[in-house]
Amino acid sequence: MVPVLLGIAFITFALVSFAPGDAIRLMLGSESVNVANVERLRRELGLDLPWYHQFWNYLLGLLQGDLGTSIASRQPVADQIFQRFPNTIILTVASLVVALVIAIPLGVFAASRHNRAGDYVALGFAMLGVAMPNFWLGLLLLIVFGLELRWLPIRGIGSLEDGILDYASHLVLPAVTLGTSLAAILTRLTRNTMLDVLGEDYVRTARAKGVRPDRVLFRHALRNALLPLVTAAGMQFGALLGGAVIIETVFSWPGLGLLSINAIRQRDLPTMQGSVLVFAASFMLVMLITDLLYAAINPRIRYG
Amino acid sequence: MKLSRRILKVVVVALALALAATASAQQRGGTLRIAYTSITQLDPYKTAANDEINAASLVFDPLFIIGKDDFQPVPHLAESWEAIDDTTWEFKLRRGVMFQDGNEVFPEGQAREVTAHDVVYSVNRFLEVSTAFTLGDITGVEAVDDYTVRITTAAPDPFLVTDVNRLARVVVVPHEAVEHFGEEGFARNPIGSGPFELRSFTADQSLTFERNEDYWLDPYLDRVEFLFIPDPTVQTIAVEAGEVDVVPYLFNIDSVAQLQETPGIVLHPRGGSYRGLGINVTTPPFDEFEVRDAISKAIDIDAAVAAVVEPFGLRAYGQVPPWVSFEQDPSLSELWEYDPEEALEILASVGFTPGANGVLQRDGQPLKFSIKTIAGSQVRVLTILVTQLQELGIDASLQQQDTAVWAEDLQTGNDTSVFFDYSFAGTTGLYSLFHSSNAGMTNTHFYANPEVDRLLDEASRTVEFGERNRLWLEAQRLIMRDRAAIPLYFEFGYSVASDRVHDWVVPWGGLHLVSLENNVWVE
Repeated sequence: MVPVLLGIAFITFALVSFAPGDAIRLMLGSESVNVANVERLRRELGLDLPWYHQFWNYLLGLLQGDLGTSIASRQPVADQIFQRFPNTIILTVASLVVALVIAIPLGVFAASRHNRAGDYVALGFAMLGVAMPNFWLGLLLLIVFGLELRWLPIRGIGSLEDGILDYASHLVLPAVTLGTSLAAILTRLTRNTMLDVLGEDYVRTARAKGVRPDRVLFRHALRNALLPLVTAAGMQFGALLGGAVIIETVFSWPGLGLLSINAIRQRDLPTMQGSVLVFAASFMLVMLITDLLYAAINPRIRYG
Repeated sequence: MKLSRRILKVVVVALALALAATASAQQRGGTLRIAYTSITQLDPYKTAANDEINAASLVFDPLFIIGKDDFQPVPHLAESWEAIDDTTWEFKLRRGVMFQDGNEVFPEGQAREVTAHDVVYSVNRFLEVSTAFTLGDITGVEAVDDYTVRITTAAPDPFLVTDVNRLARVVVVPHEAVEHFGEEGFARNPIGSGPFELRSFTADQSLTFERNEDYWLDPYLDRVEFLFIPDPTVQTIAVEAGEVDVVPYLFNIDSVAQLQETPGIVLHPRGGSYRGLGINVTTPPFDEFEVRDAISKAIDIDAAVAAVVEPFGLRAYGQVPPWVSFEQDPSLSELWEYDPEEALEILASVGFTPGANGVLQRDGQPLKFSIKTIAGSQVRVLTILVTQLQELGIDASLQQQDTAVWAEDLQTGNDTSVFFDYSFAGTTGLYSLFHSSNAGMTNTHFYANPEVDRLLDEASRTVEFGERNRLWLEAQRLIMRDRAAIPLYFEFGYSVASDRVHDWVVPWGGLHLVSLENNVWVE
């Protein structure tokens, strides 16, 4: 894990260093600027050093657990990230739950109505969910439920002090928006694997034995269909993190995605670095959890 | 004639009385909720970002503010000021103004008065740490007595008090607070003498301010909340949905027409920005006057501006916008005309002839450039102009860039010939954009004309308005005649507010909710 993270640190650093535009030039570009003080700031932040020197300084800090200081807010990057990271986790996990809650029943339903109207409706949803850009869906939901119907708040995160209901009401729209495309992918996957499994011998045997149809569907078939579903959900978690970057902006959700977007706009290098590292580390962690879940669901895969 | 004027006067007085009657319905208390895009710190000297300046200006008081009606300075902490000689300004401070108390620095009831020494400290700190604004060449700032400050400049400097980006930016800061919290800490714990005190600051969520009970004016509002909404579209939806009361700056001028029709929403116009085509006059072939001149004649600016911007903007013939303290130069419009045939003739005269593919070329080199721009209403204007250029056989295209990349490309001149030219049009915009001393920074035209430099320098030292105005407009005329830029339009600036909000003044160099000019209240 450590070499991978080091590699990621190096790649983001290189990308950012060689990308056009920097924080200081951004300041110098505005109509009114104090050139002398801005140049002094460049020196104070070590931005006048060659990139390899900057990277070395960054690595030294990293080894001591120091992610550096944000150029924009002059706050420690680690503080900024750990204030926001829980919010992103809550949002992505909620979206994952939304996706699974929609996808599994819908997929099973579609498989059980193979090539009938219900199947086509479910597949239609799956198509639409993948095709809609999530920022567009977000704005649409926001206008319908926030502005026209006024059922749900349109911005920000709720406070637990105002009760769990308030918190949940803020979470609904972003989680549904972010979860929709994943739900669509997983619906299709559930349907297809269910169809495969339903064609297996043991399902036929179970039916022949006279096991109740719903029991066959959920106990015999679904359980075996879950395995590829878990893999896919784990793999797609990366996409969720990526989607969070956009959805957090639409819904003013104070998460890590928003922090990194702003950091990119302001060319706030240390904050960009830190966010990408944390994103990468969490993705790796999720992959690890996915592997462990495998073993839990299907004991035959348990290692050694 | 005399009689009708008297009648008019009576009507005006009656109207004023009627207004006063409705004004007496002002309500005390309540919370004003303001949308913001990004606030990372609140040290008023270390930012040029509107949101941060707006939030900080609730906590701090400047010496004077830029008046809401005519953009002239009006008293605030300073009751009056005068130029006692060509290079010395003397400010008389208001007495009895106290710093905010009930905080770590000044415990409840133990605040102290704002004095001339605080102004001296503030000006010096500003000179030292401000990255965004320069005060010019200040040679001394001294407290004559507790309520009198003198600022001396190396040369006469009329802009010090008239330009929104100079002394108007220097809010007064107590040295105890900076010393107690340190530079970084002060940016999270601002303490000043302003109408509202910071109560909480949660990054990317909200900031809460409460009424300063000891303020020298009597604020109507109890609380002000800044609510985080990073997406400009969502900001206006939030006003419509009643989740916030004000969006201080409308980003997308295209939505003005729709917002005007929306019940419950009021648009407050004030000032705006200059938008044009800038030309890097060092990039071939744009180092040739004829090429720049031909481009200016090849585009139908009136049609493009009418199609996209009007009535929320105004065709521009120069850089000096109608709302700064210079006069408009009506003769400028004669400098610009749409004449595509003449444009082609001029280009032919310097050797550009149609090539095989219909593109104009000289010595095998096509006349080709891409206009570098950032997002905004200009993208649609420029699209129209680019189409017109293409029809004439000029291989123009549009390249939309990220702001940081655009800024760097323009400053380094990196393959940049024609670009979107922008300034939010403060008083001295002409100086920033075209004086040779700013080349490679704010002057991305790399324009260097000794005569223009001389005129701008001289104007900057001329206290008498008439003469200063004359020099400034002459410089503008030279720049435009040189085609260092092709002005397109002035876009008006707007705040979007709920109709429950009264007495709102669109921020200009700071957000003033409580001043001698206004006192915001909500229904």
